[in-house]
Amino acid sequence: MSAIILKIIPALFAPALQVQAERVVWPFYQIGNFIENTLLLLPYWGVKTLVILFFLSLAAMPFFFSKDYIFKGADDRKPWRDLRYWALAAAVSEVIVYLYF
Amino acid sequence: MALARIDLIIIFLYMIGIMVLGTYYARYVQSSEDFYVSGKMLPWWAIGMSLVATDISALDFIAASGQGYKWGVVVANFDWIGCLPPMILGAFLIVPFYWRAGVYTIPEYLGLRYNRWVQLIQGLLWGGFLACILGALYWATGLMLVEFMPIRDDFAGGALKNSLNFLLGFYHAAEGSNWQIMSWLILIAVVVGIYCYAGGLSAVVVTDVAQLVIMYIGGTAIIVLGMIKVGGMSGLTSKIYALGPEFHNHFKLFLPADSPSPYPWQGILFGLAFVLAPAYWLGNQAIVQRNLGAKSEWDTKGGMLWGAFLHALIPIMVAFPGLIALALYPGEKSGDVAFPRLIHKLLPPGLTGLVFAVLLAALMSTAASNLNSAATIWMKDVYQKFVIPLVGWTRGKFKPEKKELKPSDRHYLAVGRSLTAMFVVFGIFFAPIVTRYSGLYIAIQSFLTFIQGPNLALILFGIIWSRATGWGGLAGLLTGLASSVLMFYFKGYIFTREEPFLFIAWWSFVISSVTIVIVSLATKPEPREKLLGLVWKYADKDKELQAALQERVEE
Repeated sequence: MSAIILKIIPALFAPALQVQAERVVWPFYQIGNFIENTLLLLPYWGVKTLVILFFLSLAAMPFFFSKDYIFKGADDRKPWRDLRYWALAAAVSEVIVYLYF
Repeated sequence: MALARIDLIIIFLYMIGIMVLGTYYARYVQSSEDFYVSGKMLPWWAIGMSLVATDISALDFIAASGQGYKWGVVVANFDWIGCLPPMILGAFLIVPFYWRAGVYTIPEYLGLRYNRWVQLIQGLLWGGFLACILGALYWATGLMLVEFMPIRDDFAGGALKNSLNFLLGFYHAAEGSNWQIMSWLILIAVVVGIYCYAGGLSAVVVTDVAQLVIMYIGGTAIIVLGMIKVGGMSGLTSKIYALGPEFHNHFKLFLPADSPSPYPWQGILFGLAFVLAPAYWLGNQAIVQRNLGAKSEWDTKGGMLWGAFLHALIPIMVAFPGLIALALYPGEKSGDVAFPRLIHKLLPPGLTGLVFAVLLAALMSTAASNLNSAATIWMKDVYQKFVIPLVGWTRGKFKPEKKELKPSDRHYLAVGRSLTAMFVVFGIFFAPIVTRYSGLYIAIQSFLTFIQGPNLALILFGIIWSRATGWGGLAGLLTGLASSVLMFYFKGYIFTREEPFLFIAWWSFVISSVTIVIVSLATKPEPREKLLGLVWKYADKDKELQAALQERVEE
């Protein structure tokens, strides 16, 4: 019974819903097309540069925090516990990968 | 394809070893805090290893190598740009706040930050998702096990086949080897369930650590053998380029904006890197739960960064097998067979068992984390927050002397264990529904898409913008969810590509963010004392923060 209902109801309302849906989404579709066409203009090297800058900014970000925040809760302040350098090393390793591929 | 005796022995030993290791930790579970957040004793190295083991499932090995086979190295973005940025941001900006708030779940944090309705909706969404994903994970394991260890039709006199086919008949799925898949998935679900039931998060984390070591050993073995077979990196590239011009983008991490694949660069950048990945790493309870169990704030940050290091090697193990399989065995209809084919053709007996154990390790670690987190969310955000007060209110209405309902800590521990057992059963019965989806990976991503965009908006605005209000959060959550569902339903009219999940995630995030800002500015600001310890602005007011948190705990 439930299967029949599930088939009949959408069949009755589908055409009307479709017309409404097309009306509602048409402006969004146009906006999406505009954005997509604009992005198409960006060259491959431009995309890569953007991504590498993104990684480098991530590597730099922790250096703006205070040392107290970085070491908060740590047993001591030995250099290997400085999490800023952990983040730097991880980000640089990915920069190398994105430069290669 | 059948495994050799030595492979079966390795797999058997592996499963027994993991179960013994996990159940051993039952002796350390004395309270609900021990069960749900390991008694807040986890060190950074265990957190990092557990994060990676939880993230990498058998689906990654099979489906990601399948996508690698079809589209190339672009799929590695899910584990590179899709992991490192959110893990660095999370380590410094997000996870410390969860840890400081002393919560067990992310919905609980959002409940403190916004309001109880946000907590309930988030709890139901994530609780439901984690329970359902268990079914998908179990089914993927069963599928994989059948490929290597088929069960004879006359096993147990045919009774096993008949009884499971009877069960599968309810799903209209009593066909082919589905009954064998069900047999294996039930076995794995029970093994995982036993150690999760006994040891809680500690068992999950310690088995994750062991499983990650196995994953690295086995994953490295298959890559080394595969690369030798194809003649190194140069052999791999030349063989794939020789297949035709449609394969010339297989070694590019960014595909052109007009690529017909689901992974054009703008989708990878805006959908994956800016929304889906942060939402997954910062808002997924199954991931973040081990951070909540860290023994200090430094350990929770360090664990996230250590995980980022370890994760950088994962794409080599999950995406490159697809490329190697393409170079060696081109022309497969479905990329999902790439990894099993590689194991079948490349590995000698003994090593096959080890790599097979890798797949099992990947699956079991992810399933265990989801199981534990599902139980935690349902207990903390639904049962404790809503069911207990509702029962208390109902009792008080009829018997005022019994209005106060304060269950003991042992009660919450028992509820967590019962929920764990219940979700094992639920996962088994939900698993056959996955057969209705054509691509497992895409199906899971699509499902996550509904939740991820609004979830990220709530977390980011919750932590960074102290002006965000409870009503703003609730409105942002509801409009974000509604918009993602509508975009998914009308995707044929809105998007030009077949699987636009990355784009849906991005736009639902944008819509949710805009709504949070507008509604928050239109409503009364939250009092300062509610926000202490929960937002960036008041992060360093430690004395006040501790007092505020203490007050909350006493409430």
